[in-house]
Amino acid sequence: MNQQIKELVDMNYNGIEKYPTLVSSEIGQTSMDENIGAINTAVAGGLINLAVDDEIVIRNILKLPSMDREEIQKMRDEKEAMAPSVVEVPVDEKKPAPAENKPTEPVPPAKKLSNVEEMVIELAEEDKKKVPTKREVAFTGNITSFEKYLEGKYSEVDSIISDAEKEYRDALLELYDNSESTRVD
Amino acid sequence: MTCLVYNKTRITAGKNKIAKITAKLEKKLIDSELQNEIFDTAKKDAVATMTKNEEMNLSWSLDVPQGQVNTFIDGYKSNMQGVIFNESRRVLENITLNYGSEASIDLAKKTASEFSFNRNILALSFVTHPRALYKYIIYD
Repeated sequence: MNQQIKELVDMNYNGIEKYPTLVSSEIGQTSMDENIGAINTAVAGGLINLAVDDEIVIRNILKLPSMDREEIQKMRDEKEAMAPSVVEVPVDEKKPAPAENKPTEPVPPAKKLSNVEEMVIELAEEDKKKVPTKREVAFTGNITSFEKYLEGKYSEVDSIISDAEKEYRDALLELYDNSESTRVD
Repeated sequence: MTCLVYNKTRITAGKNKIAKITAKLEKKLIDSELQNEIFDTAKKDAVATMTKNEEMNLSWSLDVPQGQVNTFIDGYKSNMQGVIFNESRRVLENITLNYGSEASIDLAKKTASEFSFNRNILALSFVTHPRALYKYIIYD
């Protein structure tokens, strides 16, 4: 079969040195879903801990881009560094109560963060690190400066209107002042 | 209590004076230098925002159809005319009602001295269309 593959490749491409080959998987091999499901259950149940080598194998099973040991280790270190440290605060029972005699609240035990919580924290940290691009800054700056310009122009309009209001008021007052009047008791 | 006496000639004279003030006000705000300036600036600033963007590195120039700009200008004019007409109408109504009902002069003068334009409507009418033109050029 591999000979036919070579012929087909030669017909379509020039200068090929390494040809693709057809290989069969083991007879009775379990499905990818079953493998991953089993690994997930074992890890979640605390039966096994995934080492760097394990991750290489899993990445291979899942057909993910390969990473070497150093890369995986570096990624793990970065992840650990970014995760907030959960420190258990020791409760010193011998320590006297504060002067105000406030009851000391029990310190809750340090909680192990779930994967989802870790992801949320990671995303929040990433958001904090995001800096608006030069384009966004310029864009926002221009809109703001135009709004300020409009505000300035509105002040001019406001002053024109104020003058007109005064003229209306004066005209009305003059009109009523000079009107004939009658005394009604 | 001293009250106004109905006098048609005086009412007409008063209304004419108000109409003159209104015409003067319209001249300052509609088809005026101020109107041209705000729309020219809206167009110029929006085009500059789009073309002077270093990261986008645009090689085209932005042509804003004048017909579209005129639509926004007409909107502004219509809004401002509405505001001026409505507020001056209130003044004219004030005259008609006070003379018609022969109202107390003190009350009429008190009402007259408190006259003012609705600033919220004025502000909204003034900024809406130049702002809309700016956004139209940027986003459309």
